[in-house]
Amino acid sequence: MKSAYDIVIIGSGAGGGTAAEYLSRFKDKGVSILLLDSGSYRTKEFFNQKEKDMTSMYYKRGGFLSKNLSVGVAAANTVGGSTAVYTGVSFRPPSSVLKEWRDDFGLSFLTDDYANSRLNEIEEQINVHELPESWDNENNSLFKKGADALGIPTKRLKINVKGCQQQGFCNIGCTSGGKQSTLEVQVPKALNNGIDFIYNAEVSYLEENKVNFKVKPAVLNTEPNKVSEGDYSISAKVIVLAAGVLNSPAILMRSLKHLNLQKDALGRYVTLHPALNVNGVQPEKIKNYRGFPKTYYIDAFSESNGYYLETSFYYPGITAKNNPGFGADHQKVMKDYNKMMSILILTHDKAEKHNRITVDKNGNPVLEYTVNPAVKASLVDALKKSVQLFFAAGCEYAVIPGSTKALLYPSDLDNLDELITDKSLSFAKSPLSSAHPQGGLRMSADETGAVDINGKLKGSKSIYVADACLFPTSVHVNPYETVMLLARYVSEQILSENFN
Amino acid sequence: MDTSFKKNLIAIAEVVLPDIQTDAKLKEDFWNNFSYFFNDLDADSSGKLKLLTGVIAKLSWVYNVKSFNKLNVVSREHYLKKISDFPVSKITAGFTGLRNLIMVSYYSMNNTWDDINYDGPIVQREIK
Repeated sequence: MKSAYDIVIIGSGAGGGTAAEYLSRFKDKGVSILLLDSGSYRTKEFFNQKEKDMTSMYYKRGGFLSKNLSVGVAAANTVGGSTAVYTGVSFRPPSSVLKEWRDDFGLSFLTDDYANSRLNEIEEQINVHELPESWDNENNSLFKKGADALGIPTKRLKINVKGCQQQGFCNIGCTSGGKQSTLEVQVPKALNNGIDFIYNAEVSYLEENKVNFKVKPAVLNTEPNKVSEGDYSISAKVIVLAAGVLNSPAILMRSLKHLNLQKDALGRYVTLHPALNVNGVQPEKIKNYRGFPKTYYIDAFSESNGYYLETSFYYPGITAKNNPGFGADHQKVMKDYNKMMSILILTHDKAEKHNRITVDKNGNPVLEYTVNPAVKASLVDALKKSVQLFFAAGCEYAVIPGSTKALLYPSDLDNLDELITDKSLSFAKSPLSSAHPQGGLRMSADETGAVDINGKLKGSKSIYVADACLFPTSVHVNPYETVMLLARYVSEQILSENFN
Repeated sequence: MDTSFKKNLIAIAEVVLPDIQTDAKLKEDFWNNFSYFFNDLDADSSGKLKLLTGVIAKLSWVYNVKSFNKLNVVSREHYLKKISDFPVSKITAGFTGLRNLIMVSYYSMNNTWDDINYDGPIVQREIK
């Protein structure tokens, strides 16, 4: 490690990994790059598909809660960031969202042509494609069967895998390296291009042209540190902040003494893509913990009712957590784990100023988030739709958070409006989850933006942002491709503004 | 961990997971796994969960005029249903968080998987 670099990138996930790989292509210009990540370096050899071991890949083991305890955020804390723990569901940003971002926030560069040209390249690099139907496990087949019976159109998801061994759970690390995450693709390419990389490196604060960080001890069963533990201060011509929605704003808030930033714009307009996972139980065994967990989705209610439905299936502990209630009834349901089919509800939340990241007295991120009534209405509708789909797919009963009955049966179908209501759905009893936090350092030409439309932090001359914090509003779909798209754009601006 | 916390926590877990009531080995394994997760929490979260467990035990005197640990399982279940519907949302949400940690601790143990017909991961790899 040197004492000064041209570029220091903070974070190796969808944003930082993409920026590192793209910028490392220009080594012939003599651009030196240091990549930092606060997480440990777990390569595929360190994964074992057991949630007891693998939840350590998540920030606070996936138990980071909003201040009011209504939403739990599953944010990664490992090299590869969110891409090490996502399922690989690949969506381009919808044209309608790009238009909104152009028209309302001044992101004029973000034309469909620009997005498509860059995403064509990115998708080819990480092997985004539709999976063959032969890979569908029964959860996916039953989801389609139920939707077909109800006359609801389904679509096939695109996924970024190569040599996938269909082990069932993508969210706790891919043991084969089939998932084409930044851990498998962009970070190794960047390393091959000669960048330096320090993991277990937690950024304390930033100054103009300077990154101050601490190297923590490596945890067991991860790559050992290559530099000594301790505090470091590294100079950089350009700093690229891509530490994720929880930590990028927190790092800046810890740096306020040293930077001249627009404080009121920091941490604001966070959206979460709030989610609930629900289960229905089939009469026969259906081993949904094998095969690829996600191949279908429904967007038919996106515009009208504000949500997507996707197939999903989770490991036992999280499934138990997602099923409401406790005691003998709950245990009885869990004994049907091998008969469960599962639906993930993803709602579109509005970007609201009061939903934000702040920091506690120790400088750690705090999420202040209130669920909008419109999101609650979407969830109630989606829960009822999911119940209908379960029974249309042949389920014997369904286990639904927010229902006034512990278990719902086909005979309850006519009474769903009374059984699942706005009042019965309590986020204190059934907290939402979020795997897609977005916003917090909004990219916008107007005063609501913390970042300008070239990706540079307003008020700073050396700091750029290249992660999901940039999103002016929710992108509505699984966000990683949009993160990569914006990271690529910001990287292009960094080169043209600083290294031509 | 202090013994009163362990006692109260086990008394709650016996209601949440009735299968551990009659199986001492399963109960001990559960406690060890719960401790593994609990000790990994940040000080703020673990402190709040300890506080909540203490509040649940103390409120038992108000609702049941009896120590929480002395309640039989049926009474404990009845009481915890009240807690899970408590009018103060922070108590309800805190209880939900504790319940979730209990669930994850239990069902992430290999020796519960046979019972739910889960074959476990394909890759056999121990991470110590």
